[in-house]
Amino acid sequence: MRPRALAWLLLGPVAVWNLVFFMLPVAVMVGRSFDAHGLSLVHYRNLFTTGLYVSVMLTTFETSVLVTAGCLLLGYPVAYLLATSGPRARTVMLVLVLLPYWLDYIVRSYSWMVLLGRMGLVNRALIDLGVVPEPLPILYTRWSVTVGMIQILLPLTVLTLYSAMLRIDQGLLHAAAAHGASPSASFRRVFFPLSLPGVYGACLLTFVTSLGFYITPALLGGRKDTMISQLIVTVSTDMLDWSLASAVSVVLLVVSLLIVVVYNRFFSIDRLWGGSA
Amino acid sequence: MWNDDEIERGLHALGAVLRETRGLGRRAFLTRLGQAAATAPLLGVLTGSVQRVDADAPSIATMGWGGAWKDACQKAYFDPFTKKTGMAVKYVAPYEFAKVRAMQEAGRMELDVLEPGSVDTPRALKLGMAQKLDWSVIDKSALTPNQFKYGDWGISSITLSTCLVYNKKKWPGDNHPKSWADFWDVKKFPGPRALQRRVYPNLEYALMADGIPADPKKLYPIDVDRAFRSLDRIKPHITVWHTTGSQQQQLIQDQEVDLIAMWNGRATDSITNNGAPYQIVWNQAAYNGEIEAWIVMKGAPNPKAAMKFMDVVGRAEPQATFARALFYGPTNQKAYDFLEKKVAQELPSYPPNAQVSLLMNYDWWLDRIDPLTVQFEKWLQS
Repeated sequence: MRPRALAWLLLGPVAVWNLVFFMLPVAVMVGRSFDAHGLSLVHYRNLFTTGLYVSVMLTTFETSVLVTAGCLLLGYPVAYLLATSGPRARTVMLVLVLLPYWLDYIVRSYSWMVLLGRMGLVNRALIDLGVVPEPLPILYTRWSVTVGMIQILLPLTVLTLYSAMLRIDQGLLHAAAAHGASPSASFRRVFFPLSLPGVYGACLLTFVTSLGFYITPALLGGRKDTMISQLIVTVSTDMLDWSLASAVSVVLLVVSLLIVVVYNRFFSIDRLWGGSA
Repeated sequence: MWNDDEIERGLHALGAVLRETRGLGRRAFLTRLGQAAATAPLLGVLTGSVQRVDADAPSIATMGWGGAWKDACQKAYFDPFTKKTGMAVKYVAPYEFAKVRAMQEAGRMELDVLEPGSVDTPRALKLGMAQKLDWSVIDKSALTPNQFKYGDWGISSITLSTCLVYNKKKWPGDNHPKSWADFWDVKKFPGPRALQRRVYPNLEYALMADGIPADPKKLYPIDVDRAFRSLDRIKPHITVWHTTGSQQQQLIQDQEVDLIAMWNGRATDSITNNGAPYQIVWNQAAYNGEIEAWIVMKGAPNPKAAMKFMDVVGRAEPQATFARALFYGPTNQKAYDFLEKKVAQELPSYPPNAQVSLLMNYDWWLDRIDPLTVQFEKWLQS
């Protein structure tokens, strides 16, 4: 068989699957968002003039930026250790990174409530140690949402960074050392620049995933920490206004796609998946 | 979408194991945990197989919440129905009204009967989801007059109230919060508070806190501006706006808040079964009355059997069984003949409780819920 034909054959099933179960429903959703007894932009006008959706969208972006930054700061050192340590230590660390990933989102979000609540572990420890006289209001804040989401998304960030770092040629580091570079200099001038495509890719994946979060902000957030998915659920299941819900979803989808396109233009995320720069 | 009730059930099971195994050695604990995990998937099979069902007989389908709700329905309605007709009830969980609406829009109604949650009942009737009841199959004389709120279109089922619930540890004596004005009074009753993230009945609470009595004639039509101005005053003191029943229970079981507006059945469950040191205030509770009803779906696959099912759900005894399980009150007034006082006084329709409550006027709400929900959500963000 010619390689081209083989490629199409291999791609076939997933293409059909995506077409039927993803592209088609998305098309229906887009169609619905323009429908008000005929073609109309009324739902979009609603969406942009009500104020509610725009402000919640901004909250969503703010939270996602915070979460992405947090994941990167905490995840980079872990990924670096993973990429540079021996096989035994690496296996142990990988299991530790993956273990929380296999736990359900809701269970993990509930665990944060146990930790951060008024009578939670953190507050009790602080009071018993005499650090604070009264429980601190840490649950139901932007902070608690961010912490919960970072913990949930961290494995994704770490694994993306790690897989990019694995492709860095260790020979280059040895060469740097052989030419007298200190470990910190070889990290700064060789390893870190080469790991940047991984950083860009990890940031993008983490950011876009956090845009769609629903359970964690609903359970750990206060009234001003609402994210756009929560509103989409309210509009579609409580108000049964599926056209408006579709319009909000389309805006979220378009914004996410725009981010990917613009991002790709500057950082060329193809490199993350092994493409050449 | 995740299933709140299944998770709740899982957490309950885990909690039970942890309580039972306190003090056991590591090995014994692991064995016990393993047993619990092994039996968990069997639960569904077991509860399903207890009823001997004729496989060839037609069955009917309904939708509802999972967990304890399903168990209560099984005991109160499904078992008597199956015993009488030999037909099984297929139960789809969790309850999602949007799904029912989608079935209707697609012209493929898969459900025969439904008990839509609170305002969803008038909504379903308005959307033309129901079909007329066949009184030649349903024994009208077994029902009480108040159950005919919807005439030939539904039989009122259970009653629910959303009540003020307070922490008894904090206010053990007689000087405890007794009204929405007290809930609003953060100087007299300091402490974290929680309200439901839903525009109704928050507007009602706000007006009662502002001095309007719990009398539908005086409270409706709602003065929306005045209600939001009153809500403005309490907004900074609300720690959490809860969205689910299990969240309500978690908030009082972990004593996360001292004052909360929550569903009476959930409160009683937390207080009696899970040791939450809280107390329900029936005064000014938002009482749903006969709003919730069982209906037969238009386009139901098995309308004949559905009518037979309707002959069960409105009767006194099944409603008493349901109330005993979940503390949501009966609409059939004769059900109180079957209920011991200890249970009866925990129910929204128990006359002393109902008399001091505010009967919600959902006719006023029906066309206003959507715009007011948007206004409420916007207000939350400001």
